Amino acid sequence: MNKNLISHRDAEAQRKTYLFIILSVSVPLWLIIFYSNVYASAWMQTEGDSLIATGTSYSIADSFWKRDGKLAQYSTRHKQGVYYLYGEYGYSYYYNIFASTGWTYSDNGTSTDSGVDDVKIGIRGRLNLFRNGRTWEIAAILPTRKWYLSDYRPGQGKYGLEAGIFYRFRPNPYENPFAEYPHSIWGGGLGTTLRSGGVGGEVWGYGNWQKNLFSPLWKIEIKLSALSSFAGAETGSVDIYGPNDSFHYDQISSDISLSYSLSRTTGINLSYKQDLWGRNINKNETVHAGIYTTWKK
Amino acid sequence: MEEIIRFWNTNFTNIQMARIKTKIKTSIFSISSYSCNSFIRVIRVQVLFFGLTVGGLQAEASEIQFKTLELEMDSRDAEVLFRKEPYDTSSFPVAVVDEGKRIHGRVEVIGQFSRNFLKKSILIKLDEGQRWQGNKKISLKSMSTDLSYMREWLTWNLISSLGMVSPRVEYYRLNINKQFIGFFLFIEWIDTSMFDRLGLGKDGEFYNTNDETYCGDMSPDNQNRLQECWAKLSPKDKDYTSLKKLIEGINETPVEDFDKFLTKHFDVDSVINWLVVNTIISNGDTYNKNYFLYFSKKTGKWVVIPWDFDLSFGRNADPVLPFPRNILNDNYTYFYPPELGSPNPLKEKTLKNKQLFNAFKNRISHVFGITMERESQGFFEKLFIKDKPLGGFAWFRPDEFQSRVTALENIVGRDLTKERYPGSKGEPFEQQVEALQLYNQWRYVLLKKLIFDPTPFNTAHWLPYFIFPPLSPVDMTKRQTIPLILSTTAEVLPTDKSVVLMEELLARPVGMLDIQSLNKPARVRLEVETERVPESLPAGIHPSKCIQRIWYLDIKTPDTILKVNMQLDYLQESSLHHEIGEQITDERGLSLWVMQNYKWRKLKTSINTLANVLKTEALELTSSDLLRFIACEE
Repeated sequence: MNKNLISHRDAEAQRKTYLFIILSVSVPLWLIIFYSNVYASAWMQTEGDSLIATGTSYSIADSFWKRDGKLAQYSTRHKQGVYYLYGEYGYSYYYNIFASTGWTYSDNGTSTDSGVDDVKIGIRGRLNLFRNGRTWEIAAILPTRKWYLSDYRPGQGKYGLEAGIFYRFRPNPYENPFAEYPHSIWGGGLGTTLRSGGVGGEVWGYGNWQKNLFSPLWKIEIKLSALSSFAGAETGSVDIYGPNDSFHYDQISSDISLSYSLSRTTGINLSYKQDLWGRNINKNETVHAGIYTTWKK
Repeated sequence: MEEIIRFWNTNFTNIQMARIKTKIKTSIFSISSYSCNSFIRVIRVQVLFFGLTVGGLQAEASEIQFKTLELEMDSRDAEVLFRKEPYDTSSFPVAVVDEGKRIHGRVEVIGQFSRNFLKKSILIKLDEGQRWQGNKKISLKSMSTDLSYMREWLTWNLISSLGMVSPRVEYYRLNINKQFIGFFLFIEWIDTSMFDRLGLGKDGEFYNTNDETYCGDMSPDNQNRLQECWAKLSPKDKDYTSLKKLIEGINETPVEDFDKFLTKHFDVDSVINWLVVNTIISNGDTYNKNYFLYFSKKTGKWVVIPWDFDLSFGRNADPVLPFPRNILNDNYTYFYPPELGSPNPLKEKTLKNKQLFNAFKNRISHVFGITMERESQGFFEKLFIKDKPLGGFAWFRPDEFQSRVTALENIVGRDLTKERYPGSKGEPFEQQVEALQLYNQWRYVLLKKLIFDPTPFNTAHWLPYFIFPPLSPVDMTKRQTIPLILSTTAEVLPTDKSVVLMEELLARPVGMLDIQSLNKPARVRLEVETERVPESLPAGIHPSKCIQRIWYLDIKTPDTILKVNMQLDYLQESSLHHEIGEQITDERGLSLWVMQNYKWRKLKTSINTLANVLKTEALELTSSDLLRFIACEE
């Protein structure tokens, strides 16, 4: 019986240890906030680790919120497709660098526009020296071209500077060693984007809630995000043709996403985003699918 | 500061001789690449030892040293190294300060399990061309899951004493920026440089069992998936031909010829010693993982190098508790049979082969201090050294073992509270050390009886693979109970200091008596009902608050008065097989109760909750008494 016990123990311990390590070391994509093709993360890569993520999103808007917050129908459906590429690298324990870009196609029913999207290069650091899940970021946004249909993203195609802080309420790993993450984890972020040309300057924030689903390999996330512009405060004009980036705009959106860890280093993510309320901005619905992988140097 | 305690109890074997010769050569021809005061001191001790053995004396030497390793780091990095997230693998610049010289490199956290504690194991990789005492890497184990701080060192000490191929293992006090961090165990990085240093050459083939696949068991089932089960560490290629040939040979050779096979292909002592060490320390976490194999082209033979001894000396994994409690638990087992762990044909055939089994038994006897083995000697050695005893004689004999443990306790215990970062939580250090000593006390008598003494029917108590399979399949979801009545008697003399009460057929110790006084030779009986809820209880105590074991003690000789200190044990093998009542909340609250003259009386009890041993002192017993004991929490 002893031998049986020990052999069984081995197999069981192996399975549990492996699962635990997967949960502990994998960097879930769902920590990375997909918002208007902009990534932000509360997670620091270990020194020498790299992450690359890619995916695509497709948005439609059949209506927009006018400046008074009332919904108005478009005569034609607005559509936008984005293929994005994102990478980050653990330069040291204290600093990560990251970069992203994409290819965007926009169609407002009467005209289309497409091309390589803005490039974002940034640096991420730790708000807490000892704990992960508490970060700050500063990023430069470099335009690649002028965009003619930017009603999905005011400020697209302008130089910009972005800064934010991100937090995830994770338990202290040393207070209760080996404890799996609790059933749900709350997080949030707050930041600002400054852009050239007086358009697209925003403050933004989000709160999210994450939970394991089915098994520890599956995760679900629900997120509520908001933004408000502080540029383009002109008055007057009409808003019968859709959002006008000369004017102030606001937006509240909700996201639901499902992630699955394929292995210790790779995962996939599916999400659906719905804008809930806004002023002078499109009412979008977005679906997204992405994959990420990490590796060590 | 350095402290040295010398124990004159360990010898030097052929392999150690080879090491010494190699060291002497190295020190003469390349002293700069192996600068090491301690090495010179060891040589001095060993030379002294030769002087003694030439004269036919049996003085032996080994030493427990606590050295200090000084590191210098950026103060922020030094804090972050231990306090950062468990699985972060970042590295930081570091300088090792050695005799005023700074040797630069980078330091990182290593290990899996110990990462989850603030006191972590660390690895220093020195910059290209840099060496510290001949090492390119300095691996420091935190011992954070073994609160006795001794299991690893004791095992390596036994391994080294027996002359096995093994890394240098030493205790270190680690200071960073002159601040004491804690006690760590330096384990020389096992690679081809180590084998070269030990005279086995560095051009051999070096394999490690894969820790994640659990299939390095040499079985026919796994001999065709070697790349999955084994990592080839050197040369770094995918050619597993030699290993495949070896494992095929092991599986094809019949048991009766296995001694010849082993002699031809293996350093036989490395295999015998591996089995002996695992038997003594009760290490079941091996034979399918946790060992290395090295094929030396210089000797044309394979050697086994064991690894990872945290689940040893009574500690045991649990088959059903969730991670990490499957590893960090209160289970304790001194009573496992000599052979345990995963099936492995190298182990099985070695134990089943008559000659090799005898060699195994002789080695156990040697380590128990029953019979002494001599080293096989070459022509040159025979000229100068006669009857050189093999190292490790009496290593596990309770007096030797316990004095070694006590010496370690005195050093570690003194500065333990000054450690900067804590390891796993558990019973205090003193309890941990006592549990080690109790393990030795109980396992020594168990193994001695099982391996060497015949049953009352003049049959062997234990033979390799003498296993009775369970009559029905073991249900791993249900509590297992195997109630037994174990009856023991012992003839006790007034001059006896202590007596082990042992069940003869199962060779199972069930109690120990330290004799305080006895008026005449007496026959003492202890009967134990195991895994049974006590029926008769003191008023107000619920059966679920009691250990499910009942002891009966009496004297069969008339007109006898006996005064004893008594040790009794109870079962906590796993969460499925134990005697802990459901309502017991804290084993520390257990007390022994005795029924005498139909009245229950609570005894002053001390308990080691790790070893599951209850102790009471100054117990008086006369021949008219039948004492019934139970252990309950109030």
